[in-house]
Amino acid sequence: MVVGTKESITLQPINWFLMSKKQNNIIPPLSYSVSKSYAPAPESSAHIHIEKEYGFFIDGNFSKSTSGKQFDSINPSSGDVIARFAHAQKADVDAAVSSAKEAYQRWSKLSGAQRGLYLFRIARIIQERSRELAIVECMDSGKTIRESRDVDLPLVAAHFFYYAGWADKLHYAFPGKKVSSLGVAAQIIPWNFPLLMAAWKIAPALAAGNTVVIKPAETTPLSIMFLAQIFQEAELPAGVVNIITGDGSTGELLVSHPDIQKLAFTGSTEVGKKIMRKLAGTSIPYTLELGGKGANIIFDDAAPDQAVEGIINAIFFNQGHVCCAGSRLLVQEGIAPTIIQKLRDRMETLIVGDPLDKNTDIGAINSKAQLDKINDHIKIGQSEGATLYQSSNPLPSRGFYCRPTLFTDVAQSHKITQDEIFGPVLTIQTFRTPDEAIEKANNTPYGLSGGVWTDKGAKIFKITSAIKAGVIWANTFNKFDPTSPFGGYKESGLGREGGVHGLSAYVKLS
Amino acid sequence: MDINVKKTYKHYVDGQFIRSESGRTHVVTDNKGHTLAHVNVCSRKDLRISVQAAHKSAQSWAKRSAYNRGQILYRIAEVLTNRSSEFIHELKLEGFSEKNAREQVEKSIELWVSYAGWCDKYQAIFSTVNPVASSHFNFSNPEPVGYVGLDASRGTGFYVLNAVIAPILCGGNAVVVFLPNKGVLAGLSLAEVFHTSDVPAGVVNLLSSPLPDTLEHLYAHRDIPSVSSLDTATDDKKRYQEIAADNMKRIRFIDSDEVIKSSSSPYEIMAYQEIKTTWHPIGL
Repeated sequence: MVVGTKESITLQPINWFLMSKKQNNIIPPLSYSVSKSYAPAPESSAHIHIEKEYGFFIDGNFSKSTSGKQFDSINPSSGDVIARFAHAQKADVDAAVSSAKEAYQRWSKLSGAQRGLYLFRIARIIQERSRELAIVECMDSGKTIRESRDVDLPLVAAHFFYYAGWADKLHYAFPGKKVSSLGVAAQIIPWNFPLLMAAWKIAPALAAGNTVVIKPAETTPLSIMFLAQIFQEAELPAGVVNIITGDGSTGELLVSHPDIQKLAFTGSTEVGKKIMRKLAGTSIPYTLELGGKGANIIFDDAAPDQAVEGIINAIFFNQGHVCCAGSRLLVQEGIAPTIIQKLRDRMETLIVGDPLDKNTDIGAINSKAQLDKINDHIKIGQSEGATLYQSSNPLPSRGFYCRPTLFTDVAQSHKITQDEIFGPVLTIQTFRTPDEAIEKANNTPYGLSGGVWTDKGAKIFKITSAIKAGVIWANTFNKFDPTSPFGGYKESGLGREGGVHGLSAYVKLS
Repeated sequence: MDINVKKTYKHYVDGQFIRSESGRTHVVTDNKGHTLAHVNVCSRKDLRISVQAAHKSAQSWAKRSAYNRGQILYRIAEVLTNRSSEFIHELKLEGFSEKNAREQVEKSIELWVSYAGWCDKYQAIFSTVNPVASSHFNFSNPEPVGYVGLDASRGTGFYVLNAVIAPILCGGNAVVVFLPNKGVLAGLSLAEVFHTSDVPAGVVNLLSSPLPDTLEHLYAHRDIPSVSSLDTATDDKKRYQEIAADNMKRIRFIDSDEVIKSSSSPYEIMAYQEIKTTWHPIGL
């Protein structure tokens, strides 16, 4: 796909910063006097074999739904149907849970070293089939090949590799405690990082000796079926991981199943609260990774170009479909005009387009429904009086796409500052003192992530310790690693995933 | 004939000994039905003011050095030791045997000493430096959740009360406590220990005899991030969890019998901590 042929673009300056007193800080907007179009560089998907229909993965086999109910999964870059999936009803959920319950008897009695061997095998096969999985992930989720190839898949393999190594070392992880497994872990994962979230959930659960019933999101059920093939190739004992597909109603059946001993959910805060209420009165432990509205704080002593790259990565990574996105930019007043101009210039260079094209920076929005939600918020932002800026890049004619968007003249009370938009939409506020930045950063019910950009070490530690959030990136953003715990404060969730802290979510200590 | 001067038992809120704004009291009697005292009936407004005090003080308490918090917790043990005969006397008045009362107070003192020692150590056990595969320095460390609502209203006795408050304070949190009905006098007198041990105003807030709707409001209050509930009936557990989901409170149910059997544990401190992970690039 040819993306954007540009002749001499001149950006319109924002009125807001023209009115700034510090006019001498303003750098002239970039002018692109030469064309910046790229030749198409699509990753081929010709060798990817996708079935027309998928059932469930229960007791080590691919099975059909009992009810015959199905739903379509859409390729968001075109709007075309990728495959049909079975919609799990009560009988299917029961079958999956009972398979996991049965398998638990044997899996939990294997030695840790033996469980680890299976996980190591899985990690290796993921590495070997990494490119294939990356392409599948693009096709079903709309994320770019650049990210699925360079971020998602390496992390998926690394997660299995990391927790494989924990399986025989559990008794070293929790000083003074005896460690045992929990039982059947019910896991519900979102559509923004389908395989990565599956890895985050499955790897520690299996390492600790639990068995799993997992439900992918209804818009991204495809890649986990490839993972199921890998489980078969690795000869993972039947029933240790069971996969059912469906919408929220399937998830609800799973959450309220009497035979689950653990629940792990990643998704919206709204659904997280519903799950908490559903589990009220039971003793089922749960971990919840929920929404966020991360503040990314830029001080006037930050390296401006580095900070701008950081802001771009914080909000436009994965189309902004990131719970820990740096969706609220807080810029120190003195450098705001410079940063905003540089940001607008950089946004102009971002290519929105075919997720499988290796030059694409921003892929497709995951679904029509999500695109509508983002566009609604963009309209709300304008009606609230904020000033909109979008890059002038052309969008593909088919599929679900959204231009990189920022809002200036934003108040703390605006809906676009408070709501998690989950798209490529950034709000920009300014501050004068570190205390004001902290106050604004913490003025949210969420507490998942935060960022700080400054050249001063002491300032970094002041800010990172004052922000009420589970993951803080200083002079970087949106970095992930299996050894590094991830999870939220306040309404962004409960518990951690990754690292030794993530392991504790899947064990019983006595 | 000796005419004793009797003590008026008040709430302890924001470092002050105050009466309830409800103007209502609840009579506490000994085994024979003799009036021992009238304790305040806590209202929703009392709770709200206490939560504001806890909110206000929590940050500065968390910012104290761990060493300083350890010294203050040790001071609590000192003052408690110094006044142990008064606490034993109060517990006896409320019906505990001499032996039981003495045991409770002595065990409480041991516990405060133990948690005083934990103040600067649990971090080392539960923090990690994470060997990430990129050029970043990455570490995770516990941080206090902020302040805790402690519903000890059904809890029994003095030791249990101390054993649930100590790990909360040790980890740098403030606390708002609904005191047990049995052991309420000794519980209220504990305020005098905190007050004379350099515990900053607002870090510990003690309230007595909440009415049922006030009690429930502890679980509903949107500015409480974490709540612990002692000896809760099964039906109440379900209801409280449902209410607490509104602002995703971290909610714990604690069994007094388990607490009586246990001693100090860093895992108790960790129940009121969040893990924060910080990343920074490592330069070339």
